[in-house]
Amino acid sequence: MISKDFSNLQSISRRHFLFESAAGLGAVALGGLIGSCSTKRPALEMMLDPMSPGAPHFPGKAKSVIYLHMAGAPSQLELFDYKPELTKLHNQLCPQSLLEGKKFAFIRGTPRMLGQQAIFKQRGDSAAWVSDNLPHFAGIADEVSFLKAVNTDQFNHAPAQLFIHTGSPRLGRPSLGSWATYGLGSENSNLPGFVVLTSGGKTPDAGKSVWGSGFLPSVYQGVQCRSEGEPVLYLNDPEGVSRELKRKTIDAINAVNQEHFKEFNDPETITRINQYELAYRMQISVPEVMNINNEPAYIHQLYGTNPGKTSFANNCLLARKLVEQGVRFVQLFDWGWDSHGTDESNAIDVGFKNKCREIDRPMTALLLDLKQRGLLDDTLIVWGGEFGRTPMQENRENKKMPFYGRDHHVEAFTMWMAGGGIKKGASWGETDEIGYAAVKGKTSVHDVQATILNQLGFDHEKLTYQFQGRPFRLTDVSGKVITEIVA
Amino acid sequence: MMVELNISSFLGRFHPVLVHLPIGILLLAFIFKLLSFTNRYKRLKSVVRPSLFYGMMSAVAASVSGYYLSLEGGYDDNLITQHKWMGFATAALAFIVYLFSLKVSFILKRDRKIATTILFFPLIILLTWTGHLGGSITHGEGFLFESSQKFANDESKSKRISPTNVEEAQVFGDVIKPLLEEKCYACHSSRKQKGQLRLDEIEFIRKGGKYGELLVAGDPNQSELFKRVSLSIEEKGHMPPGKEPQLTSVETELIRWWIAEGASFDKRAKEFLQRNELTDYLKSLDESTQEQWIPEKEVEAADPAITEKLRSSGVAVVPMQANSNYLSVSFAGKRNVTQEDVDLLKKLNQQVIELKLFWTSVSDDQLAMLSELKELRRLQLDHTQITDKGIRNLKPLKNLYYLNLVETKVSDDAVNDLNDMKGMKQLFVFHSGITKSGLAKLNSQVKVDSGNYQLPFLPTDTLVVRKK
Repeated sequence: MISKDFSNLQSISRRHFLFESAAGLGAVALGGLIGSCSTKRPALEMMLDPMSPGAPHFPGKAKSVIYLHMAGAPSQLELFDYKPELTKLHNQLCPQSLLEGKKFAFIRGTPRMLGQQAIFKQRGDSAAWVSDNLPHFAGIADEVSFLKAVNTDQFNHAPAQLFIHTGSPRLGRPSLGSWATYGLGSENSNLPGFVVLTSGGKTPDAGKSVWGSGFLPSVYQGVQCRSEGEPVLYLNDPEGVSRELKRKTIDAINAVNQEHFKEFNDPETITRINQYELAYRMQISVPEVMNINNEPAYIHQLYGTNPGKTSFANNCLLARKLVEQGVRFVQLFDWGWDSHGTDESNAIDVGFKNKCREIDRPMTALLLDLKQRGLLDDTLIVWGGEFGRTPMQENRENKKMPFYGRDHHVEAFTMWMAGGGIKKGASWGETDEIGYAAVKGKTSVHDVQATILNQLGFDHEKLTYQFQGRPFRLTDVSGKVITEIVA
Repeated sequence: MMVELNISSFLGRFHPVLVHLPIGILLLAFIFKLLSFTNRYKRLKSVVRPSLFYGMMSAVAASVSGYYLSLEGGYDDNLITQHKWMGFATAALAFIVYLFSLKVSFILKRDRKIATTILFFPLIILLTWTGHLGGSITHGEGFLFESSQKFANDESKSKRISPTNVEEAQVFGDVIKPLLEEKCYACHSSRKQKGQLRLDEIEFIRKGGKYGELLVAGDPNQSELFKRVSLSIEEKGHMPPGKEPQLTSVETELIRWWIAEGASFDKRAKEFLQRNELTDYLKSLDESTQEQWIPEKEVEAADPAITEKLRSSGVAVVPMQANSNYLSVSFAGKRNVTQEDVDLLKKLNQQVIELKLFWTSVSDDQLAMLSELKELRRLQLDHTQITDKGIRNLKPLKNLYYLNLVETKVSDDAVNDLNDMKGMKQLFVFHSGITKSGLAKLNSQVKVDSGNYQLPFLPTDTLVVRKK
């Protein structure tokens, strides 16, 4: 025995020792380099368990995000941006100066101005303008911060949605929720970290890429849950397979994978094992959290929920339930805001008003419910569309439309944020007299994204991922935190 | 003429490199000289003279290039003059020391030796002092003690006036000047005078810089100071330059307001009729200084074996931020709190400042054990079985300021115990046993949310709009 140990020692020569130390130093340096170019989470741990919770760059005010996306882009001019001057100009021809060099999705020739089809009032101590289309929300205007001059550069739905969710109008980039879960992981190992809920009858125009993980590992993509039927498709066991049999199956698969790991030491194998385990746990935890039948009556009253159906209200309640269980990012899409005025359902004074009614109570309830549960300070709520709508009346093919409608508008639109360390009752940005363009406090889509990451505790310039030879980030090469609305 | 100027300024650019040579070489010569007195390094005697020679030559080169650089201007004149003459003196003294080290026949060998040795000391002092002045020019005066000074600055910041004692504040001295100091002095003060502008004394501000009138009382748009800071960042001439810390919109508004109101250097706040911008600015200061709830005190890292054990049982243990040893612990993925978990948590009593036990099986007795987590600041106990007894067990937690008791059995009897927790600031009691009468007895500094929000039914809630 002794002689064997001795010969072992002998085999480590001085040269050997020096070589090993140098290699070790190199490895340490490499570790440092790798560590510095992504999140602060340990690289190995992230590889083995990509959803393990990690620390932000600085203590973030928000632990979770609920993003309410009104797909189709709601009209800021019928909700928040009060422009009496525009109403005075109703039906007059639009001056050429507003049209020259501009591109619109459908407006051709010279359109007429469209006065505001809503009654505006100043609400609460903050005196924020909110129209009578949102009577419930008007009561909590003091809780939110408005961004009234958000600017985008995409005037079609799909690229604009991609832009606002992934930082690029083209496919292939990770979405906000993916970046958030990549940076922070998930607190609850039984549930996905990034959940997507849709309502309004259609998914967003840009498809599932708006919650895709792009070049990030696919574990970070959003998991779409349905509020009707099975919450997650293909998660349930086939008929005749009991939970015990499932357990045995997974145990057997994992045992094989363990063998494989011992042989090849590939961390992806461990990821695979973890994924099986998560899916197994989700079979119990997801149906439980996605079930709103057992919520008390006062909650259903507050949200206006109707269990068993797909609705924005149900999704708002689910969002609260998910955040309450430690889910990091809940993305809601509500389709049906594309108010062109081609028919009754998308007329700015008919269908649009009905859409407003559908969201008014639930989104107000969501804010109040989070507040009374002590979660609003930790949860950032973001509301907005992918762009705004024109002060001009749409005149598709240069003809008068059957209903009042507005075209897509990129120059300025309104978004709001609340909770998660956002100021209460603040407003930033102003548009000109007719709500056409920003005159003060213009913010970009990247600024909004930088602010969301900032609230989660990330420097948007440092949350990067190495891909194709360079570090990528959500905000590409721009973006500035909108400090004016950060508390 | 043109060509000559270019060459001289080009030579000047070598100064930052050349200055390091005399410092190194002359110091080395000095060290050789000292060492040569010992027996062991006697032989070093012969290298003192050549190293002195090269040191002297490099000192001359540094002085000449430095002189050309100083012609370009843009630095603090006072410092430049001092540094220049000290530099020349250093080169001259180095030359003298070198002369003494030469074998000059008319001076006794012994005298030469003593003179060289003695003169070495003032040379090194001169050298050091010149180097320090040079450093002050490039890195700013007080660079050497900056860290301690910064600390002092932070102290003074916290003493800055708040919106409550604003009445008596001298607007320029107490508000505007500290802002200029923070954002402008790096280039416009005794350190540097970019654009020939200094903002550190009232007389300099009155004098203005190379471009336009700095202040036109009552007209911000004619005042260079406001014009520059209000330009958008992409525009030429925008201040502070792109890469420097920018003025926030509140700060820009403050400058605009101050100039519009007459750009007075001695008015007190109460003398201004309208001062919304001032209040806004002071409020923003207030907000940025508060809300740092991670303890400043350093703490050693938690034992990785313990955190790993907790993690593997489904508990999320996360540092509060990168490089912080303070931890946030969440049982979101594990509803059953076991004795083992509690024992492990107790060992993290220095590190855990946030604990999420919502929807878990945590019991009153377990809370008694968890009260050893002395650093705990935020505790979520909503949707648990805990009762008044559990709250009593939490009394040792002096740092606790956020407590979530939503959907618990805690009743009005716990109010006295809650009042004993002096740090308490935020309390959530929706659907707990605490009633209005209980809340009335609660300390006034505690912000309570008892929830129960309802939305009225409006006729519009069910009204479906149809085609007119």
